[in-house]
Amino acid sequence: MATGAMNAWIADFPWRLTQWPKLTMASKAVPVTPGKGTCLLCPADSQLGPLQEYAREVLLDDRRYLLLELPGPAVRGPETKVLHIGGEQPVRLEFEPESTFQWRQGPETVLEPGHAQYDGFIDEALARMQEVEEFTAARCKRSASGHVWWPVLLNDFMGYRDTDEAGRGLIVGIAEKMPLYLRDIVAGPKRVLKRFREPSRLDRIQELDVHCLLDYAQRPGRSASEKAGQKQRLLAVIRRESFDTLENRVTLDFCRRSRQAVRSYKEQNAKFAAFDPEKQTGSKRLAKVLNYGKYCESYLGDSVWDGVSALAEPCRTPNYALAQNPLYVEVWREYLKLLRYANLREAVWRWPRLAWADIVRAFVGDGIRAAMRETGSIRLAKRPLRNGRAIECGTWYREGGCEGDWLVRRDRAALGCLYLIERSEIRRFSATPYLELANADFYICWLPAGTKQAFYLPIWAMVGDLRWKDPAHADRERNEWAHDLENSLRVLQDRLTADVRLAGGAIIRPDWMSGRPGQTRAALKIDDQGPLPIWFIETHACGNWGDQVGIIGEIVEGLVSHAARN
Amino acid sequence: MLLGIDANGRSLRWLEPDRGRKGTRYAIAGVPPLFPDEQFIWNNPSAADPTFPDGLIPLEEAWARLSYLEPRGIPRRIPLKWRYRGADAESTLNPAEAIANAIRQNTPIGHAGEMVAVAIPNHLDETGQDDLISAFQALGIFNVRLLWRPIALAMSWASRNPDRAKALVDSGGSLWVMDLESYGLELTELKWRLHSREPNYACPVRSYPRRNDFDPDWASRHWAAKIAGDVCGQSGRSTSLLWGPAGADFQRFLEGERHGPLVFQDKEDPRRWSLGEPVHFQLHQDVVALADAMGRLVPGMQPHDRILVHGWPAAHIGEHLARQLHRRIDVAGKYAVAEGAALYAQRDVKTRPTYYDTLPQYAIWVSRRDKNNQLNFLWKALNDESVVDAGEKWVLSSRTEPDLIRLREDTLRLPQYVDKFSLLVQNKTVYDADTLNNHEASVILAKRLVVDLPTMTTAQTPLRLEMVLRPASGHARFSISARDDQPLFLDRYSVDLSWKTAQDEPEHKGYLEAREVVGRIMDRPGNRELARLLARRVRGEIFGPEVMHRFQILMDEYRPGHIDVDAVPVTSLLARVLTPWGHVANPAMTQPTRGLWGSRRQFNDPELDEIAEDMGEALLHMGGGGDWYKWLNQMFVYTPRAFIDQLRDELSPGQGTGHIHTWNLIIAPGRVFDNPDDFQNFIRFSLECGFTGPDNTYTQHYWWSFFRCLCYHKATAKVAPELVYQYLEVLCEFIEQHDLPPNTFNDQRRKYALHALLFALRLRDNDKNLEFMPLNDPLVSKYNHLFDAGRLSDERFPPSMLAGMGNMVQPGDNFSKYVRRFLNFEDTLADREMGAGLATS
Repeated sequence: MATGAMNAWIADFPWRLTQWPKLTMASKAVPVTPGKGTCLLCPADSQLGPLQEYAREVLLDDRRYLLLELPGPAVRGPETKVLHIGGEQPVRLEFEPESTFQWRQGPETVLEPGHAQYDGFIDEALARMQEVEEFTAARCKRSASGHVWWPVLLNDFMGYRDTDEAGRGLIVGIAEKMPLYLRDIVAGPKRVLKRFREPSRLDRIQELDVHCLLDYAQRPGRSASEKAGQKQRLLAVIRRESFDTLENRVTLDFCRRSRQAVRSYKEQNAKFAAFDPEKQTGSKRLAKVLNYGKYCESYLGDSVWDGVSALAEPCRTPNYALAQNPLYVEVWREYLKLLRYANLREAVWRWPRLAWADIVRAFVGDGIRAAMRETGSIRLAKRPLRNGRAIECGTWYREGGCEGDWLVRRDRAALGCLYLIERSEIRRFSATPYLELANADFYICWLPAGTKQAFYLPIWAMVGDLRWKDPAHADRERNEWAHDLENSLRVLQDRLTADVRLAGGAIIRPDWMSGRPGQTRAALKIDDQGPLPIWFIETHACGNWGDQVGIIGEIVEGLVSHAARN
Repeated sequence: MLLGIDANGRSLRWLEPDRGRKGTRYAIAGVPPLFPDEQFIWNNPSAADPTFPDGLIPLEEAWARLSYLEPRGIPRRIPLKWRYRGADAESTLNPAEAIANAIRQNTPIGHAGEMVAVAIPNHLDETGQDDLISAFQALGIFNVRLLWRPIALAMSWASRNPDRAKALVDSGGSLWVMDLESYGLELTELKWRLHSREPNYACPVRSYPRRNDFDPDWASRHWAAKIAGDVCGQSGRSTSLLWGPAGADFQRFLEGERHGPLVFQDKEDPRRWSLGEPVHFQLHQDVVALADAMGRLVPGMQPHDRILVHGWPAAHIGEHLARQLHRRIDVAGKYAVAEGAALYAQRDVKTRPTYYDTLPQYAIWVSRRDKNNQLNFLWKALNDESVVDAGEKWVLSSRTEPDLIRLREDTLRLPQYVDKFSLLVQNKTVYDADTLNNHEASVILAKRLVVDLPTMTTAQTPLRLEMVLRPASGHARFSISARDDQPLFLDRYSVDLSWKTAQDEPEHKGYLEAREVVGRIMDRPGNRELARLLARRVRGEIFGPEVMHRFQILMDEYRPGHIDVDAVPVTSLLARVLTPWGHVANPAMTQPTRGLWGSRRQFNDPELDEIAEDMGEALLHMGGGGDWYKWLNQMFVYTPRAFIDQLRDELSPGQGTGHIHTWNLIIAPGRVFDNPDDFQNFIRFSLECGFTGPDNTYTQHYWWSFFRCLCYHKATAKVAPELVYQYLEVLCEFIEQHDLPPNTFNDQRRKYALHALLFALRLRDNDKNLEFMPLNDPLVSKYNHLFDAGRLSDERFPPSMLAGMGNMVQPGDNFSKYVRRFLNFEDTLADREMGAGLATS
């Protein structure tokens, strides 16, 4: 039941859009969970308020509609529990409390204890995308046209095989870089001379101010020695060095934030052991971070900081020392990263599914590339990477960038063309009505040679919620999703023209809820015998995919053979 | 580091002689950006979306657009059109910028510290050269020199075959450079000479290219397209093979190198690609036709001349061509152009001689009196076609060429018959060649620079001329200044014409341009003060003796002849200031008539706007019946908005003519309506009342107002052509039905009918690609018939048009013949210059 004047419908899973026009009307009873990709559909002339820019247009029955993927709860403000969408009479949607996480407000803005795994997933995804951003920026400077290509990213960056089991994160980079700088700062922090008034011995007095003179005049006695009394001391101005400067306050804040980040990292990676030099086992990355945590603890306990006051709020403007001093400038740089990281985490917190879709984009691209290499296919296009300047709606990529297009050949004969298309491109790529109802993040498109038919395999990135911690629940849910997806695809298939066929679907999830990586990464093919096979893949965000990308090759192979059969 | 670059054709090659490095990029094409804040990708055609048909811009196409020669031989730069894929917007790309970007992204040009020589087609004109240099400079590359491709080929050839070059010097023979890699076949004859500064160095002499050295039908690109068509078959899109992801492999295939798979796009579904099978191709069947074309292009090949062929087809057709032409030919290597460019850079850096270039001959449009005091116009050559050292700036001035310049300057006098000064300079070498080839109407006659001058000259001012030229650098500047170092006009000391920015003047146009009149208020500051005082006077203010004295002085300075400003009524003052005067008031004066205000609006002049507002307000509230219209319309474009609104209301179609009680109302639109909408309404109104409302005496005023709208205001030409055509039809019928006597004081209908016809032809200058009244139009025949029948003939020139320059009129000529020449596209440059005198107020 609609609560406002605006007509709006809810698709609680992205693929449920295929049910149109039988979607449920938006109401507060509909649970909105950030990891499920719940979407709101409304007429094109609707006013969605601040979320308007995140909506995209879809054509249904030759009419234009706006499709908005609903964000998760905000970390502060009125949208922590309820979402108001629309203009004068907005639709009011309540977040489902059981499936969401609690965000603890504070300088470090972390999740409540107990959600460390999900926290770790966000850290990993963010760290990965930040590394991609840095890699792209460095390569752009070297590129004549100022672009970096997807194959370059996958070859030179994603192709790197990471043997360390512990997750990545901003704190890892800080732990590698900062101990030496902090050591030098603690050894000789910048100080200033501050004036204090203290009773001083007569022979040590150098400076008196008005206050001291008043005190001097009020004392009994005629001479200075009489006024100095028995202890022979008078109130005088003395100068004493102080460490309470902005740069030291920032350094102190940096150490505190680092300590908090190390604690979170430790909690997220509790299942791994730190590197043991004697046994030569364990995670070096974790050991490094833990060591850095110890440094921070010891620095924070140093008496140097005793007189340094804490910052009431994060410092945003550097002073001269923070901007120019070779030691403090490094602290300032990393401090800003930590602050920015907190903002990024808030964005990803609201849009976790779209942030995960960025990782899935690389995962699928890497898999297709590996499969195409094996078959000796011809690359038709080399797409440039299109990073935005800031994270927007949880995503870093601007539209139009996916790993390239291929002419697949076997035995020197062309079999057909294979494309990886993202959601914003699908309408331009295929003018087939209703195809965009699949509302998938990516589509693998196979155009076999010698026929006019086109085969599509949509791929969804999904995150899920805390209930997945229970393996039995996860299994149950996984099967429910798969069957629901299959039903949705059947509905969609009936609407498509005869020359456009669906060849199944795939859901790719992060494995943050599971234990050690490698053990639970799953690639399930559900409903193998049916006409629409559903793939369910679990992987992780850090990019160390190894042979797991071979599953994408299997999907492609399945797509090609499905096309050959049909 | 020195660098030679050959960026033409399908292969971009660069050569760095110091380090012995070289490189090639094949089939360079630009990938349009997705969004406006991104740049083109020029170094990776596979970055394009393979599903997007024709989504690439070939570098070859950019060269073709930059150096495009129309079939009639006119150079023209056509922007490249493309659209963003991510953002719904279209844009255009300057071809020169495209080329500069492509070179920057594909060569180490950004690291070349010393000098870069970029080879350019032999037919690239000065504007194209200038564009290219500007585009490089915009990318921060300032050390670029341009070099003609045939010269680069010749220098490379001479460095490898010094004996053959010397033999050509001895025999006086030529090297015919046949460049197939340019936009079309460029066939260049190069004579050889020992350089005066280095007697052992045989260097080529480049003569100024004639248009007929060029044949767009023969170029390697045509062969490449044909072979690509064969590879793709019926169902494939050959451009996708030429410029798509396999473009480089296809070029390697053409050049006989190892190549990868040739993939091409399906014609019907751009998403589907196929594998092409390399075909065995032969080009020798085209050699006979090519030899014929060469024979046509260069009839005068001597037995001891040599031929140098460049381009990938040369390897396939070389032997056959030699047999066909009965002479041996040399085939240039793949890197010959880049090598020649690098050689040029090497020599130029060391200030050693490189090659000789030929300066074209330039001419300037001047007037001269003959012995009968008849004023004639003619093109006076400024220099002779001469051979000069390449790359050097060549200055023609009284300092460098005192004797030559003295002869030229003798004829240079500032024309005094117009208050618009036009500087016209002609590239005589090109023009002569074009007219020889019967290019007729589309030939560019000259470059014109129109200078809007606030004041007129009253004497024949002797002028000084200076021209600065530098071949292959896009540099051609002409400057005219007063010989006595006095300012030409106000604070303007010289008039400078740059070949790049000046407008093209076609040989014939068949219409007169609009000429905005600059009001006298712009002549000097005193006139502004006078206008302020006059406005106060109109309001009825009574001046004290000091102000009145000042007013008297200003009035006397403003206009010759004394009146007592204190004694005469305000209307007399207005008549003296606002009403145009000049030749009409005093035939001895050599100036055309102008009033205080003009049809030219001066932007960013708040003082003027304030005066106009002040005077407009005063006049609006003055009252006075017919005079009210008279004074306000003489404020031209500065007239108050309320007055324009009232005119619009009173002269709207459907209003009738009952309310019109003064002819000043009818003539007001001529000065005031400066936009097409108002003008259109006025035409409709005129047609509705048949030029006769409220009575027959108003007819001439309708015509006057009609032609003045087109004469004074540039924007009025955007009126609907069919409406003006209808106006001319009605006018023609009117003349057929009424007997119009020759011009008298009371009946000036014939005179203004001719004016209306003359200025209506302005619609021929439209950018909608519609032909307005072409020569075969029945209305043109009808008007010709009216002239033949004597209904419009024998009208004398309006005295104010000639403004004391009666000797400009050829004996036997008259205004009727003058208008008829325009009607029939027979007008000359002198006619158009004379037409400027009609822009009087």
